[in-house]
Amino acid sequence: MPRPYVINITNGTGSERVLNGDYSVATNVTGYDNTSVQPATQTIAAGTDTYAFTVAATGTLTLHVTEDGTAGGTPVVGAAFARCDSGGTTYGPAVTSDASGNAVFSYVPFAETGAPLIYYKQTASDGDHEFNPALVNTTMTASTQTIEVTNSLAALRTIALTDGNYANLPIETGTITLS
Amino acid sequence: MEKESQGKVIIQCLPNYGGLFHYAVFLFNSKDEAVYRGTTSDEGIVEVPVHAGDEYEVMVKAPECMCPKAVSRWVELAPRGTCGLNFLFSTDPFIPDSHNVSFYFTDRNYVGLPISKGELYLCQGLM
Repeated sequence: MPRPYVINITNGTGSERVLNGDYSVATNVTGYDNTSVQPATQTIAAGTDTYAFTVAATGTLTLHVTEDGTAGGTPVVGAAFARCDSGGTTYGPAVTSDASGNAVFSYVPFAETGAPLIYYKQTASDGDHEFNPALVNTTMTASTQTIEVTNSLAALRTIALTDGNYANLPIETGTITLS
Repeated sequence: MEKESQGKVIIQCLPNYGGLFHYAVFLFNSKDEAVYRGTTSDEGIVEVPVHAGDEYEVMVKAPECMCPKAVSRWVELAPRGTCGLNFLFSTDPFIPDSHNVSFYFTDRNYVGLPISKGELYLCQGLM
């Protein structure tokens, strides 16, 4: 019986010279449920040189969005976030904060030690609040975790509207639309 | 009742470059009845007891990576006779022993999200 093959995976890929045949598949990925690998069996056949596998995690990451970034702050509803890789590419559907300000990423990896980085970014707020669109990351050491996120109320701005031909002559009434 | 005399056929299967393989061995009598089915040891050897006084077909089937795929010899045993047969197999030149395979490993719930670091294990014989 040939020895088991160990394929080291880095950033989603790995390669190895493998004999044709039928195999059972196992994995070792910190932070994921290693029993969830699919497919669990694989036939390696002549002429087919690429095979894909998936594995699932079971943690829950909650992003609690408020105006001041505290657990008791005013919640912001409708803030959108996306799960990313280290390069900022998004994967999966966006999650949006609910009436309590909570946006939830399900099925994320966690481990007491060595958990992988979870990358995400905010893609929108509710239209009345500022947000930071930068790519950020975290690791989870427990199956559930909450991160406080600040979406400050948009700053109060003073808008002046004057006559273009009579400098500083105020326009008495009217509207300006910023879109 | 006269006890039938018994002989044996010793079959040895040899690969051309060494290694341990198991070969499937079948024995058919002159009536084309299968009188033995088995596999060789790790060293490729099996001893098959047979009732002498008949003509036997010895058929050996090789593992997938070897050729010929199957070979047969006919032997006629004298009473209590012993017959030794050697079969030589080589790597099938038309089927590569192995080929370089690429593996893609991603998160099932975030389609396409690559697993940053981990190991995949492929094991034969456990399915």
